[in-house]
Amino acid sequence: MPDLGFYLLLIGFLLTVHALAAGLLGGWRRRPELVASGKRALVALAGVLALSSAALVSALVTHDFSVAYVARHTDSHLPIFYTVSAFWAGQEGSLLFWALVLAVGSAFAVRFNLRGLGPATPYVVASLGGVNLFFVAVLAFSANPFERLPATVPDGAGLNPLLRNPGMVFHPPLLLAGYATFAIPFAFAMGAMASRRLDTAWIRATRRWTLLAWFSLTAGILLGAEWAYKVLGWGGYWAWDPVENASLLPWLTGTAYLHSVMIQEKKGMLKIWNLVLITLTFELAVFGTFLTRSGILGSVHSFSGSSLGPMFFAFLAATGVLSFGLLWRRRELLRSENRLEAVLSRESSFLFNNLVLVALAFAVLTGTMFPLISEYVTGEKISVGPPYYNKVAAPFGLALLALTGICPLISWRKATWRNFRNNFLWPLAATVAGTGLLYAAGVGRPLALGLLAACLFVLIVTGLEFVRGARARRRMTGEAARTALRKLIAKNPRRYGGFIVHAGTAVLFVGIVGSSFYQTAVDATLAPGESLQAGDYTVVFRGLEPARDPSRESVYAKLELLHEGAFRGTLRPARHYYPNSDQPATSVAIRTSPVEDVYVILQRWERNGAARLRVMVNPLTFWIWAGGGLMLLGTAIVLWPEPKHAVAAVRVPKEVVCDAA
Amino acid sequence: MRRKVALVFSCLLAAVSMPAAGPPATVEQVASNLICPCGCDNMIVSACVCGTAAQLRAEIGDKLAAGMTAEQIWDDFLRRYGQEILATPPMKGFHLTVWVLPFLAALTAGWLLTRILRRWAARPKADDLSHPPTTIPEDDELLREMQEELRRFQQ
Repeated sequence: MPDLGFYLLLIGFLLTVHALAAGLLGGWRRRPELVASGKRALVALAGVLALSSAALVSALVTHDFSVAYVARHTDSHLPIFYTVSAFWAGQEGSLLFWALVLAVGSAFAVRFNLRGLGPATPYVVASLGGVNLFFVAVLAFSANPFERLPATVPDGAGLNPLLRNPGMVFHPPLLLAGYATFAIPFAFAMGAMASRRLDTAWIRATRRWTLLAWFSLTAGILLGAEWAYKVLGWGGYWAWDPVENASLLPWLTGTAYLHSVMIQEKKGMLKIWNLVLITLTFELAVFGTFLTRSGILGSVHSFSGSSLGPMFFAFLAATGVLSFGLLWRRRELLRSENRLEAVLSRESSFLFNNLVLVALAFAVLTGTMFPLISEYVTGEKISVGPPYYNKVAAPFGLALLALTGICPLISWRKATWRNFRNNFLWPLAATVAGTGLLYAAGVGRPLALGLLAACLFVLIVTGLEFVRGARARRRMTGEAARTALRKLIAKNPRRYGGFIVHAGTAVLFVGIVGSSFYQTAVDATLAPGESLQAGDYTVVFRGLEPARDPSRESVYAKLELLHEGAFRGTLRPARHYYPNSDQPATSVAIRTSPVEDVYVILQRWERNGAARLRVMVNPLTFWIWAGGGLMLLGTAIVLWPEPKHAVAAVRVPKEVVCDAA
Repeated sequence: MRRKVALVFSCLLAAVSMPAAGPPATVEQVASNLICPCGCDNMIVSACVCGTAAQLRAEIGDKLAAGMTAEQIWDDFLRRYGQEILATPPMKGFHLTVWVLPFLAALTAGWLLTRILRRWAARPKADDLSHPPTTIPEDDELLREMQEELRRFQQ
């Protein structure tokens, strides 16, 4: 069975070579039957990789410890749920998962999204074939998940205990799926450039893919943060470590791309910039995959140890050179169809949003790579840790939030002083009043106050959009308020879904500000009966409690939580000991509320019954997850198919408003 | 213009480099600028849950109680563990690049963007007479449909 999986990879490799060659030749010689056969190769590839993946899952589930991957990442006691999730727990498996997502996406894209692309079609097939080719080649020749051990081992090494958590089961595949899906708009962009068909057809054809990639990446990043908070157990959710940064980079450029394509769709401008952005996003997604799985950033020296490094870098360089080379050759064709009417317009606010997002990505990339660069240049090892990113990212975050609020208030084409004043007066006044209240309530740190003011501004502006829209509907149709609101969103999911994402971002930032500026942490070693004070909370230690089940041994600390003297429940943080792991796993106890989380870590316990505890009060952390959920909900609404009739109905008022303004 | 950019830039740099002023440092503040030497991935001492971090936090507490300032404590750690222990690179020499580069890049890009926008806005209106600038050819049908609908609505 495992051998079959490997042979399927080889067949897959041939199929990708065929898709690439047939696409190129079909385009060059104008032979549609070749292009059709290239398409079929991509559809077949999806089937072949699905079967190959099934072979890996079957090896995992049947505990075939003759396969190195199975022996390294599972053991015979592992529950079935986690055994299956080991598919993406290691390097080879996660690359297979990447390739699978890409191949299935490619198959759907060539089946359903090629209509209207005309001469670009063969080259889109070829580029999809090319990207698939790279990943299948890596699997078949360098990171084979089906590699056999010299001899079957009696039992496997088991899954890292930290990964035995539902959040961790879904976080990696969502992240990988997000990375892989960005390859589809990239391939379409390459096809468009190669064929000189450079209107908005490729953007329209891949709009849903881009959104799907963004949704998946966002969900993956959020689940990763939640996993860090609830399982890793250090009291935070984002440590700015290289792997986290690697997932943020394509997210930032992808977000910029999502916004700037709107300008091309509406006005035929920014064609070059959009091609640059999708190339960057794809390159960063591949870079992220590579970083996640190689650990090169530990040191420059670990890089040479793996043959994957040179392969990935060669691929990144080749696609980068090809894409930017094509862009250079086509620069004459990429002239804007329209001119900008005023510097102060919504178009330019989109561009500044792009600027901030890309600059932030550049800052994060600089910080992530700097230890390597510095070691190379000065020979000295240095660290670039969270304080660096917090300081550097804060001004960008502030600018981004401010733009999120300002953008919907500026008219398309040209903002006049009058509509500027009309639109800004009330939201700004309300924000100033709200900020004053926050200051009076004790938010004294300037940066925290600034960020919260920006969040407030975004929420007010976004709220107003819904209120105004619903009111206009009610006036015209006489619907009830709730119906008007629902129909407003249903008739224009792109616009209002987008606003929900913006509101979600602001809510998420409220959580980030609360938890990072106002966290309280207390360390103490307590004997049974003793207590400690953290903020307004008292934690009473009632003693240790051992427990044992088939997979692990555990020690729990029994705690009582009091808030200003009133009993608020019990907490049981623990340390777990797994037979196959020399590192104990901590499991934190969290009491969550919209105001603040009480977060308790059992750091150590003593034979005499004492416990060393770390108790934190994390204000507003709840809103990070709420805001994240809102962002995903908004994206889902944007993804919702809009009826053709509704498209017309919603686009008119905007144009009319613009013309009237 | 250039002077304005220089001013914004120096303000930004000053804001970033400003040490946390105000009340004397807490253990959390001192520990949050140190990377845990335990080998955990880039984790700061104030957050790391390993035994080493707990020990270092206790040590920082003792040192603060003995009257040392945050800077003195960081210097002491720097001597013992090397530059790698500090969570942020020093703002001098080659390491200044990591602090300056992001802002320099953003401001340069911002300046370029403003220039480009001005140039675009100044472009002649030559083709505007034939068709209004907001319509994209593909949208013509859509637009007609929309206007039709609008008319019906207003009636």
